Amino acid sequence: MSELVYTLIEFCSVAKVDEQRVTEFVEHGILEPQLRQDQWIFPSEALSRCQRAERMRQDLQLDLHGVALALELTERNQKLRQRIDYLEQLIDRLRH
Amino acid sequence: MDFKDYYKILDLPPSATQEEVKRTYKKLARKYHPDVSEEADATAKFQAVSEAYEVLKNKDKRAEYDELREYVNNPNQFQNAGAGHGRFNSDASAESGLDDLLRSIFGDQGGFSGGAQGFNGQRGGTFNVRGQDIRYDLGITLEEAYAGGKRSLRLTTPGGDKTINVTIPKGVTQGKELRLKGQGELGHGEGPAGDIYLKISFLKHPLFEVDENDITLVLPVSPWEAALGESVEVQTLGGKVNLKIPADSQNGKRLRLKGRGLGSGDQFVILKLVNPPIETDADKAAFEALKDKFNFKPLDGMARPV
Repeated sequence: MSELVYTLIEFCSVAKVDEQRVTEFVEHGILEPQLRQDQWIFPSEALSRCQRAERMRQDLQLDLHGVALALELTERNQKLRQRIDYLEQLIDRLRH
Repeated sequence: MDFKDYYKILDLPPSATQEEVKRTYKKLARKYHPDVSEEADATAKFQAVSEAYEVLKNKDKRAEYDELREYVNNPNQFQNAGAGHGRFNSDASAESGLDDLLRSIFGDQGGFSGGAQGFNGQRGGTFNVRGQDIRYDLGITLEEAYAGGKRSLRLTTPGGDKTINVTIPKGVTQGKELRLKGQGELGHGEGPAGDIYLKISFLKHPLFEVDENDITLVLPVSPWEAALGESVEVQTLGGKVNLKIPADSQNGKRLRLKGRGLGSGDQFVILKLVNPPIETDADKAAFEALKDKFNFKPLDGMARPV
């Protein structure tokens, strides 16, 4: 389940995003597939990223530069939040 | 269908211009978008804001809505106006008339585009549409994440309760999504069923804290264990292992147990020096002896303002 990878066609069908859009996402560095025998291969983690990107594009009326930036910032934000949670818990354990 | 005050939802006066409506919607959409927001009920708020904007952004729909809103707020005024005037059928009960009108303006759909794929109004004939995906949060213990394994889950889906078997991959980390193909809502016509996505979150552990795929254990030790060194048993997610505390260790020292985290991660052990309680004169004398022996003043090493 964790090692699942998709070809472009499979990926589009599962993500419910058309090929042209996925290609644009790749061109903007929003998705970074691997190249295998001249074919794009997408890891399963790329699915939710692709769907999030498409939702942001539609709902917030962002262009793809905006989507790329928003994704990067929200992901960085989430990482920082997790790190803060971790450090706060750790401080708590060290004090009591 | 309840009447919703779209102006209140957008926090705008009914006199707001189309420009103001648009600007406010964009601001609130960014604030509450479920993929961006950290607000607790972001999804519901985003849906409400989107629904309001769907109606108010269109001048005709907005005019109809304004009339309806006026009617809801001042029903008497309309009753006196006579049946010939408006589109409100005064024979129908206010409730059902309201319902029909709302439907005629807004249709049956919510405004949320997230993952939804509507039928675009096509009625009749055959159509094949893939079933909706369903998303759940799955809270698991760190032990489950470490070892992986199978788990049986009972889920409440729109199509009724069902039991599914999930394989939790070994070393899975927080936020990862597991996809269960074809377990979502049934499709229409020849359309395939949707999928279930399970988002992994970790339940709080009594001993460990998690940082991506590393875990940390705070280990209480006595001053002499830290000073003299000692081999102690410590808990890991895979059972107990021996850990050698080096001599002359200070409080807060961090030791690493390689490969004992999640997947390729490590376990870290942070030493927490704990003094024994001083209960008797003899206890006190033991510390006095240490004081005399060391004449140690850590405060002297601290930088001070001039």
